[in-house]
Amino acid sequence: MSNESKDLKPATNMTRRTFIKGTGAVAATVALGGVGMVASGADVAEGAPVDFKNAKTFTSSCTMECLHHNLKGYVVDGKLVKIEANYPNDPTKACLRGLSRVQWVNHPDRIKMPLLRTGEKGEGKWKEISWDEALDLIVTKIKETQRELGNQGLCYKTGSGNFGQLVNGVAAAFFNYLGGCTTLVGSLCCQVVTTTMPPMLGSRYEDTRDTIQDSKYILVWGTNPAVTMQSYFYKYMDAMSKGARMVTIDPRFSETAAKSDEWVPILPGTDAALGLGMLKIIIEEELYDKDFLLKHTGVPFLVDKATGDQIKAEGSETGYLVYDEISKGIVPHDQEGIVPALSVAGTDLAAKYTTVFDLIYNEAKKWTPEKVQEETHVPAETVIRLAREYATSKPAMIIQNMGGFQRTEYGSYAVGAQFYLAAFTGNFGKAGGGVCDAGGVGTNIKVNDAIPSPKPQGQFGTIPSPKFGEYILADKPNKIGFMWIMTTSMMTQYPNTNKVKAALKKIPFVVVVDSLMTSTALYADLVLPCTTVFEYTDLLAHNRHHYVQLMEKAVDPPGQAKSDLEIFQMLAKRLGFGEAFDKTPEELIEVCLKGTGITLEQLKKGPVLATPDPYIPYKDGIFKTPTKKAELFVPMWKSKGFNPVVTYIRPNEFIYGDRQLAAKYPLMAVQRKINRTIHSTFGTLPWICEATGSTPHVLIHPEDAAARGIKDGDRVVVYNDRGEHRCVADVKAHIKKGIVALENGWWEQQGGSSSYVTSDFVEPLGGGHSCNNTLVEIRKEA
Amino acid sequence: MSTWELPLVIFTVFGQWAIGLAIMLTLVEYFSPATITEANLKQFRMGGMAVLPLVAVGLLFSIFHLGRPFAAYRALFNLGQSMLSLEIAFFLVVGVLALIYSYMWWKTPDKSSRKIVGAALSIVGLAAIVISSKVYALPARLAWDSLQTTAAFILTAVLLGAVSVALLLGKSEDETSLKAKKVFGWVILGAVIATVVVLALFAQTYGASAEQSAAVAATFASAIFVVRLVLGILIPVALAGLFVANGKSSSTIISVALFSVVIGELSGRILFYSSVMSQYPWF
Amino acid sequence: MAKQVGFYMNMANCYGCQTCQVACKSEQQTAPAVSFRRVRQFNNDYPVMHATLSMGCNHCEKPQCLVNCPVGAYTKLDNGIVYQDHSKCIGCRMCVMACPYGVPQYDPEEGKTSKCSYCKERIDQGLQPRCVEACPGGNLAAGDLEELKAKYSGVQEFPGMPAAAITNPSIIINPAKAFKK
Repeated sequence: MSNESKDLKPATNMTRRTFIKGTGAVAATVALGGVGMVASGADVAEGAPVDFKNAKTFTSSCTMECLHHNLKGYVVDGKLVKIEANYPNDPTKACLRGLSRVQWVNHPDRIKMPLLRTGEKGEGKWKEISWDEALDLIVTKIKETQRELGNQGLCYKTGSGNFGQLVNGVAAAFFNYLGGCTTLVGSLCCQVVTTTMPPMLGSRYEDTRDTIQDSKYILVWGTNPAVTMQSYFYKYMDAMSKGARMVTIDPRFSETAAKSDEWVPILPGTDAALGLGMLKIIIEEELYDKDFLLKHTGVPFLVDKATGDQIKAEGSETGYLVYDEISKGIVPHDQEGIVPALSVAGTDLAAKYTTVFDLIYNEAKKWTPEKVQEETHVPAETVIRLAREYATSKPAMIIQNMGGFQRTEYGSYAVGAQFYLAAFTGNFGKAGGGVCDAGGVGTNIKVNDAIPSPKPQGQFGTIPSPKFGEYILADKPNKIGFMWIMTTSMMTQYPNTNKVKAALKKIPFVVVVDSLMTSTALYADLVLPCTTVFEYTDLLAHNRHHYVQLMEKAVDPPGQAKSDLEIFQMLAKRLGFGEAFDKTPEELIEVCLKGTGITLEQLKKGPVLATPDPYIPYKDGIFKTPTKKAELFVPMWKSKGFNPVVTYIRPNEFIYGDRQLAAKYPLMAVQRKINRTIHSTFGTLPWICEATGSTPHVLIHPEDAAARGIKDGDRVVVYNDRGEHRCVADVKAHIKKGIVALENGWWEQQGGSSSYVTSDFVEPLGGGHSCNNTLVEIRKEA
Repeated sequence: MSTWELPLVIFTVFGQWAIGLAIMLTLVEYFSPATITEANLKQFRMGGMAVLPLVAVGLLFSIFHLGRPFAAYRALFNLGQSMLSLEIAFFLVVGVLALIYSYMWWKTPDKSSRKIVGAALSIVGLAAIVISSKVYALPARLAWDSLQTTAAFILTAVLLGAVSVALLLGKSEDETSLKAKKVFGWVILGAVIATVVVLALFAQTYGASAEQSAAVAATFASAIFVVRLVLGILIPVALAGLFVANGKSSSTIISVALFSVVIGELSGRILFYSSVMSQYPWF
Repeated sequence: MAKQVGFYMNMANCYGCQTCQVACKSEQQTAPAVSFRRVRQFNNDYPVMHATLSMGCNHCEKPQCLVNCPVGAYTKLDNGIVYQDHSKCIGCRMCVMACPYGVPQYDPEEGKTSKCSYCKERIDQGLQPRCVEACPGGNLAAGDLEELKAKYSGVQEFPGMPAAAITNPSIIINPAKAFKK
């Protein structure tokens, strides 16, 4: 077979609604998905939907980086014909994407056999080969690379396309069995939350979803829960109906902003300045919860002015010292009967010590409301009002949810600022309060790896994810000869995509495992067809939902598509470490569940709640840090040469940053999540395209558009030195002037990803992705 | 969905043309029989015989409008309720009468008894046109749900009928014919003026609703409107002027005029449909 | 009084996810470009406003589709559902033109028009219309119109919507805040 890259228009021929009557032995031929339902003769009457009464049902889950809703699939005659939310077994309901999976499973463009590239990379010319040929080729290429470049010449990347327990973890084990390899580090999504939250609060993936409805004040900060927490959004509405005030901070008048009492537009990358400005008001007006700060946070900890480090009792890892106002002495923070001082300013100690509180206040006090207004464009009076409202309406919740605000140049500080506000106002650990992260069962139970991974043999270099393209092209940290990509589409998600494309072209052998011809698969040397949800058995017990779920196999995959697990099992056997992988999915699931108290039998009956209900993270102010207190001083930041307390650093790729660049590219671009995709998944399914459109748009303010002669609906090019993104102008005042909103997740075949223009700067504090500090210009397409 | 609705455009315009022609012929036969002379009987016979094919083309195109043309007969099943059923029923009667009428012109052009059939055809035809306009009396579609629709449909019949009969009279230079031409000149002029009045009234509805404003804007801003203005209004006015002034004209000029009026009316009808249908979905 | 089913739509809380629309497509296997339920957007610039309204068939008291259909494909069932016998449709699109709400939709490939049947087959099985069941926000409700009226307050029209007087739609809408008086 040799074919051009597939045209991804919604398939037609779905001519007639059909009603399949009778029992299981229906003679109707049912061809679903893009082709629609065509049923024959007497068993079929026109004008009514499929009869599901005789369908068998199976449950599985939406496994990509989303809310992991449980799904119920209906199977008639071995075909998946419908997906519903498995409500109320899962009390939150799947969205249009989950329901559209039926079109994914039945997609006419599914890859059915291993495809070997015959044309140039990206050209989309392939020939089908057998699995034996494909596996032999992979083994040959692995060995060749090991011989020529050593194990460091191997690299693999798994992503957020599948959170199943038998997927990405198996890949990690496989490459460690090979001896280890070069890896990519840092998630593009929320790296700086991952690096900021655990040192400060002691853990990650702590969501406050269960008590949103109890909140009196919801500060949605740089995130859009109406889209990204859709099935929980009714709780926001519930809170509002009970009198809560909701304020949304976002450069864009988002779907959430539209539902809020107030929309506060802000310049991207300046959130830490706003946070510090609010903190200044809260401290100076003494709106903070002193009792909470003293009991539950590390702000009284003494810092040695000479070293800049927090001081500890000798020989103790957690014995931070504080100044006790009763004994007027330096004592361990956890000593009974003390009253720690928030500040030592004005005492004899001040010459030698300061406190974390003082360090924080020193940063905060620089941010007068007027200065905040200058830097963030949030009006001074709004800064004051937000601070007062947030500090005095209790409980108050900040919705962080891995929002776009933290995909900025110093996103770690922005994340930290939100934690500071919640800590200073004593909102942590209370129903209706706290800071809402993503969260799920992984936070509360330990689910084992399906295949224990050996230690890599030797030290291997790493590639910061945003810099994938640049590193590969420069042979940093070393030359890569073999690349394995699964559960991700780098060509739609990775910033500076032209470099990613060049990198994929440069690497001598790229394997992409996927179920459809994704933008990334187009640049592979070998594409392996894999199963999708409802075609394989797996366990979903990750950090996006409070339920542990069994993913049942409902139908056979098309052609010779295989699960990721099967693919690694076959390869492991050929490479001589087959036994380690040679278990059935059920056996592996039992390994994963061991010690959790949850059994496979239980899961077969339905999803199992594995999180306290309601879940209140850091309940009663007990944090998961070694001190059980919120440690607002982050030594890791200091070790990297940054201020250990939250500071505002002006981004470089920003209108007030690199002025020369800003003169050339005066528009600030942010990337938004849209309801049609999760990253790039679902993006080509016909129902999704029909309901939400199939063309990328850029949201641009009417004044910015007028200045460029752009009208609503015009085809435009968004560009900078990194590349171009072609899309359609959506001219609305639903965004702050000077900022444009790009959409995330569009496929090469649909015109290409907005990541062609986004910044590949690596956030220096935590290694994050800063796509939301991107400068662009826009012109009408010629 | 094509917003031009070409099958409906052809059905309504040709149906109305046929009825207008029959009406004008019948009026001549009743009120000025002397106009039909030995010399021009051949032309009038052609005219009378043209009624049937015009109706037939209209009816044929009405079927092309359907997604399921072979099930067209079912359109008669809701006579008690649906104006469209009634329209089809009336046009079928118009078709039968047109068959008889044209047959009589063909076989027995000398017998004046056909004018009774002509009268029946004119009355039923006029009723059919009114009913046709009522099909569009949809409360949800303000741009259609108006007496202007009825007026416009009747005026199409009058204008096309009058210009057609004028063509039949084209070569006749006798006094009766010249007089008749003068009368038809005034009829054409009157129809055109009335058409302009109807358009002006329609323009005045701008602002009644968003949909209505969009329909008005879509009508007058369209390039098709220029065609309608020139071919459907200015040319017949010129022709009418010629008739009213001296009655002399060549068949070629009238043929060109008839052709242009037909195109003008088709353009007008295209605008009638597209100004509304292009807004689909309206809500 | 005859029974009448209806829909309640809480536009004030709808966040426009379009799950109802796709759930309907999936259940009814409608052709491309035919959506029995559609989510409409309302946007304004100064002041900024964004709202969404989900609408299927309103199963009107005086259905324009029914009175204008030349083949009599539409009937009003005992429970008030405006039901189209799809086998009768000849694709004349009178109902498409007549419905104030753009509910009946024409499939050029099939040459017929179809519309929301209030999931009649599901109702017969004691289930809810699929859109109502699928709404993750709980912003749709189905049931006897009088009961819905007793439970929810709302309007049949707001500025920008077709006049309710035309058909008396069996719908109660709790409008988004921008449309509240």
